[in-house]
Amino acid sequence: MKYFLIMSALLLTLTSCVPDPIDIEIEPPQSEIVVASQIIPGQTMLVSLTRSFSALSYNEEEGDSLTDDFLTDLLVTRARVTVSFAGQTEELFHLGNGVYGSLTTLQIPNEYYTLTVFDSTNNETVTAQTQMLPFVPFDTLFPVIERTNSDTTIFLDYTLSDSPGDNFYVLSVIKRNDDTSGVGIDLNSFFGVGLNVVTQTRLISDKEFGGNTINERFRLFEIEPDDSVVVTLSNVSREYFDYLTAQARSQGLVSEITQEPINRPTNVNGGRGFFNAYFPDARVFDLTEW
Amino acid sequence: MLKRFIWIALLLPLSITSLSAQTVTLNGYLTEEGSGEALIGGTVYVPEAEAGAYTNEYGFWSITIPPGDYTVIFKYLGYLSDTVSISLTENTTLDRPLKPEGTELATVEITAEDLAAKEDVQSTRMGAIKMNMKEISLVPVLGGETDVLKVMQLMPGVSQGTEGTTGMFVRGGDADQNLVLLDEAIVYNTGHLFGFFSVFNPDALKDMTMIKGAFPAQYGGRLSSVLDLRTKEGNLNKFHVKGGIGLLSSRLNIEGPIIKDRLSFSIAGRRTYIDQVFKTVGINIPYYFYDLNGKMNFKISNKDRIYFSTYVGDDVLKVSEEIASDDEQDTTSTSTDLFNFGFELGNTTQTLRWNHLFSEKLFANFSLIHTTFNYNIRGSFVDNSILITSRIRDLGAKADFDWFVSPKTHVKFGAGSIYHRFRPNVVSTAGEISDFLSSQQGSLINNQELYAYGGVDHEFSNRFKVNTGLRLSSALTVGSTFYPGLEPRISGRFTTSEYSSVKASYSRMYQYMHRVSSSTIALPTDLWYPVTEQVVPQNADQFAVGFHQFIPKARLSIEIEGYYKRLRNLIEYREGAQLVLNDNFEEDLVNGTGDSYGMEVLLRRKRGRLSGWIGYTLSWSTRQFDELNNGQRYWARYDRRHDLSVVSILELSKRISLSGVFIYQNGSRFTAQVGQYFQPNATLTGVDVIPIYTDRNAIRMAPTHRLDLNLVIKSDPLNDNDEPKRFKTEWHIGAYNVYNRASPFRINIETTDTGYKYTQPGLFGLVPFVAFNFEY
Repeated sequence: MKYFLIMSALLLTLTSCVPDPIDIEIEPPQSEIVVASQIIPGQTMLVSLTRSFSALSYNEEEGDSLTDDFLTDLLVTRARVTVSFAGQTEELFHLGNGVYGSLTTLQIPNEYYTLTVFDSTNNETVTAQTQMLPFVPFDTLFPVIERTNSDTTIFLDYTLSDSPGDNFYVLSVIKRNDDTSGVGIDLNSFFGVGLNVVTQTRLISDKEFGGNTINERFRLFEIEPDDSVVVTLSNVSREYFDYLTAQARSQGLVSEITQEPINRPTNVNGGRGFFNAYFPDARVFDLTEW
Repeated sequence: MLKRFIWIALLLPLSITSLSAQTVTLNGYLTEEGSGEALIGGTVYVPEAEAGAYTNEYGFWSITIPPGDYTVIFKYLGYLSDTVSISLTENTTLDRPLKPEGTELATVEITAEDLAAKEDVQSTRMGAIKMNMKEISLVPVLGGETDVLKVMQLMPGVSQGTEGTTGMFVRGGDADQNLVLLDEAIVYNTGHLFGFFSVFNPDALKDMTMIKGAFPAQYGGRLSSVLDLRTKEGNLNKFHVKGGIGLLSSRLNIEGPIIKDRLSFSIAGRRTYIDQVFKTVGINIPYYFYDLNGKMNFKISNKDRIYFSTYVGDDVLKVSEEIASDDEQDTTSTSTDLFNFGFELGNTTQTLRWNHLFSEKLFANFSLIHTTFNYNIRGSFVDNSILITSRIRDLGAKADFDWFVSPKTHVKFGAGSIYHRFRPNVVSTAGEISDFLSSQQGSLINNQELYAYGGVDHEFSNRFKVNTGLRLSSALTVGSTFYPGLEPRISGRFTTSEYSSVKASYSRMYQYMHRVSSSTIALPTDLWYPVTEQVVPQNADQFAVGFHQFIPKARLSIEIEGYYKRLRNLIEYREGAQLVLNDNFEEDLVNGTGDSYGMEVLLRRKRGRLSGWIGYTLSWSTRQFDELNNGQRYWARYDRRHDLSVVSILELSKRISLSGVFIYQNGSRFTAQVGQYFQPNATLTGVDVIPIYTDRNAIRMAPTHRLDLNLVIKSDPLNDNDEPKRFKTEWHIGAYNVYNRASPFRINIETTDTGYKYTQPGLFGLVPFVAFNFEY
């Protein structure tokens, strides 16, 4: 297909003068508050607040790098952030870089949490609600390395206990290139990609498996036998699962060309992003030991 | 109400037959002198009886009048008229050939044009466009390649998709809602090279009719339009060669008798040779397309005739390249691996037809039709290989009857069936690639369409004529789900003067096939998909009113029509749907409705030193899907408010003509990315940049306007002895998009010195062309 497209383009170039494109003015959308959240198991609930920005401000495809000034402009640092749950309200405090954290652990499974953000700078309020789903750990998790004379293939085998009802899980494989970065979050670089690389994200719906146990073995790509990897498992809501599914589908050149344009679903009223509360089970493997 | 309508429609011809006991029938075929080609839509008129008839799709006509002495006049636009005196005492057959006009007579013979225009005014037909190939060949199009679909896009009510493509959007409908028939066989893929060229070789075609509304009952299966293309039958008397050499392709058509006046053939071929041309200078462009049309025509007797026609066309890409081995074990190695990639996409059609005259008044045609549409994408590298195919195969049978009850009543009825067999998305992989993409058989979907129809065209008085029809259609799906469709049709004409009339029509259409495509990009590999248990048929109601006028002195016909169309059960992909290799995409389809309305004006001058047309459309088209655009109604992608086409053909001399096309249309609509935000990924180890789009199709792109010119220089048709030359030539020299303006097809974000800006690129700029045509 790619060759066909290249050839078509060549044919057209040879037979025609390419006309100058016509400029068009498009009103930029109003900047909105963007919510992201994360539970650090046994520690805190983190909420990051940023703002959306014009499509003409930054172009990842053109290799734009994120400057500190640009990021600073996007961070919402003077908001009042509260989380209401079980008849009480807790305020989250600004920890830096637009990240707000709770003083308590805020980890009551099956409880509904309501987030309210008031940004006094723009006199703007957004709200969101999510249910904290129970922690689901791996029952078993181990890598399988198959070595032949010409090739080495690495698989990951996992088992988890699936509770009744429709459940959705996210399994991520992260290649650890920086031993010091640890697992989880670096508050000073919430948006920094760092040296770790998410090599695979597997979206698991229990509808695809029968019974009370989910067991699967899948091949790992972009992982070498001497790598160190982190594998995380999170029990997520249907809405967040759909959100991640849409995100996963949009990746790749073919999808970018052919996929229907989609504004990502959000559970934030008056804003964008996703407020969720799940706590992942994370395991670290040094493949050289396998 | 509906029952009453059905009874009136069925009983009307019978009641009229009973009134016509003391009559005789005069019938026959109207053909072209020399070739014997049937003339479709010709006029036969008996002035003394004030009775007339139009020839049907096979050139047959029939008039029933009282016995007596009559003059019979035969006319067809572009041919010399013929008059025969006859004393009618019994049923009589009168086959007449008409002689094509010579160049010297082109501006003299106008009565046929008068009659043709009068027929437009006096028929109940609305929203119909009929064009002959001579007219089409003079219109300049991209690359100098005559293209029937591109010419149709210049007509009011027919909106062009993206520049260069053959997609048509008729009266606010979608691209899959056009029934394209080549000798009665459905053509699924109408374009080559992503739709830049149509698959119809102009040399093989004889006649073309497009219907946008007031659909006669014999047509069904698509909601928005019918494009009925008929190929040449083949010259019954002498061999004839015609061809052309263009920048991109060459064509050749040979026709002639196998048994004189009984059995003839016509073969037409076309192939692009851009691959061969570039090969000579060492550039490998391994792509070509070709079309082959063949037809045989056998006159068994005066009552029986058999036609067999076939079409084969393919787009072919074959790449074979040696790539240096990536062998980690041996870094000093210079070995290479062979990379192969190929793409084939094509249609085939075969139609076997038998015409039989059951009586002087009853003409029948029986057809067996076979159609296929396949695409294959294949590739191999080292131990890996992949083959992706998608196939459609249709087998159809139909019977159509033309009953010329009386000069005032014409009945058409018939029935048919189409068996569809679909196998979309078959994937076969081997090697490591199968870890990423597993083999899948694709689901085999069988589907049966059945229909029966009846229609009556009856003239109640000189002023008032009505065409009523009813089509009963249905589809039986693989899960034994049965979808019936009741499709009433009615159109009426009220003449306000000899050359003017007011018309109105209503028609309901059902469609049991969908083409599932992206709203942002149309590919030839877009899947055609039949109705299933989950995917229900589309249907549409269309109302239209119109005023038709012919001004004889100016030779100008004026058609003004207004329409409203309600579309139901349209399908679109769910937002974020996976379009490629999605074997379970039924889950990604959503249903919705559409509304379109507008007004069309067509001023047309078919003959004279200056001929052509001006078409203008003012229209609105919207869609509503609960699952799309937050359930809010949105504009259709090709909702173009104003659409103007000016086509002029100026005869500078008997041998030289200059034609020009100017179009102006509002831009199509686009869902543009206007914002973005950062969102941490699921593991908080990085961020994704998430785009923010406008509402669906919220941005209207810049208007498209363009001027194309074509100078045609013909060889002298007469030799030194003033006799017609046997070898005739024509040069076409011209340019597409003379002032090199972009016709926007999308919105991009481009880098500037100071940052970024939105731009709207176009595909084709100024494209000069030269083509040479010959005829022997």
